[in-house]
Amino acid sequence: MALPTKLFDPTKGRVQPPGAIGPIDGNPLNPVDWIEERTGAGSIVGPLLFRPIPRGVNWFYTLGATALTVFILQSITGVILAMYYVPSPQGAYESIQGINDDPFTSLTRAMHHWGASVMIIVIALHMCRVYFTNSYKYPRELNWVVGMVILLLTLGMGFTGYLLIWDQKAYWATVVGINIGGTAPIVGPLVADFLRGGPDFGSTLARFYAIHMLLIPGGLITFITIHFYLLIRIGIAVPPWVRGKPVATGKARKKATA
Amino acid sequence: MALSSREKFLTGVVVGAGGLIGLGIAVPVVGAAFAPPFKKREGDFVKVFHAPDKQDQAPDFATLKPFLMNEVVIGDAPAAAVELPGQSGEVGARALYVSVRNLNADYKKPVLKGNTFPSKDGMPDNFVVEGISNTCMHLGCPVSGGGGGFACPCHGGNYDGLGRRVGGPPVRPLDRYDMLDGKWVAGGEPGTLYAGQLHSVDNDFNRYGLTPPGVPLTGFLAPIYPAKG
Repeated sequence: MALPTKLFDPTKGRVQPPGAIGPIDGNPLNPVDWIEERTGAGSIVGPLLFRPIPRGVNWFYTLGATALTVFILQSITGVILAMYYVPSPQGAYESIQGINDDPFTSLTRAMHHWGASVMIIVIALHMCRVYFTNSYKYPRELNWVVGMVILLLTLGMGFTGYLLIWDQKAYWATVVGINIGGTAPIVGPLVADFLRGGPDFGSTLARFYAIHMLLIPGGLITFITIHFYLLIRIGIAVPPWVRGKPVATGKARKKATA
Repeated sequence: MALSSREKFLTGVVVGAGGLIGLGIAVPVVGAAFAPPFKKREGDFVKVFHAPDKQDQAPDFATLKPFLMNEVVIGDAPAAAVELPGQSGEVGARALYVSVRNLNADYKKPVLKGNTFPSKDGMPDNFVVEGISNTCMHLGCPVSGGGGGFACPCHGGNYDGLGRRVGGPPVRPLDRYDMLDGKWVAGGEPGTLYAGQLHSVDNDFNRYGLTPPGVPLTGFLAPIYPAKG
């Protein structure tokens, strides 16, 4: 059975006038047709959604999409929280108390709080799934490396976001965390000074806010896009419990595909 | 199709100009991110103790003594805890322990001019006022008095009355503030004790630049931390 490559075909039943340069359809009656005519979006979304999946995958293979969903959730709740949070040492804690008082923002903050832990857990399980199904091997090595970068950036999001509450636990956890980083050889004190923003912790909150809101999310979006591009280009790996065609490299590959 | 020499030249010019523009953007941006930690901060001096009825005299032990005796006793010397407000508000306030030490018995190296005061009131030699920071040199928790010196509640670091490590995971003595008499401070009032620049010390009280906690200044691990103060 041929997989559908587009969502629908707007040219079905179309009458082409003679001499037309491209597909001519008059005025389509529905908005989806209208957008499809002008953007060709169906030919982009189709390959994303109607990808061939190897036989024998189980529910653990959904963890990657789960991680993406949680990331989108964190982004949206984070943007809402940023409308009410005050990123200065004098106003941070009071602004969070204000967020807690309103029922809607309180629920948003709770989603962001628990979503952070869910993100770490889901990413760790996704990494385990990729490892135990041998899906990091050729030609997916670069995808594994990009995934590792995403893991480190996610841990960075957790670390920088933790300080923003600016209560005793957050402040001292950050003091100790930055000082632990400062004990690394050679670059340790430099990285600690960069994160701290100087010899004392006066400018650390503003710095961590900028890193949490702008720097790391920019990196995350970049690397998630690369991760997705590589995934869609190469495809899902056949699980090891299914008998599939072995992948050959080098001379054996030339011989096999000759 | 091979590029002609004209195309190669123009490509080089465009790439070169683009590189210059990129530098023009990157250098200020990266500098802003990384420069503040490296800027040398000239001593902001904080007034620690002022004797209002002794305006023109240097603080001597008699004037300091009542101030010191009413707070804490560290080891066998009277000391006082002074709160220095931090820039991060109340949560970042740091305490400074002011104590008085006998110059010849405790210090083998010369101390800062302005730190030494003439002896009076039963102290046999010139004494030194020192300011000890309360940041633990393991991972930065605040230390308080205990065990004849200082003790850190986080991981059990112990220091003696002079701030030198006697137990636990800290790697070097507690940081010090320059304690100066007002007449040695630009714009300072005589008869007032000021706390100056925070700096790190090793076990012989040699002065180093301010270094993060957990970084050893002497010993066999010190060479892997080249960029300290």
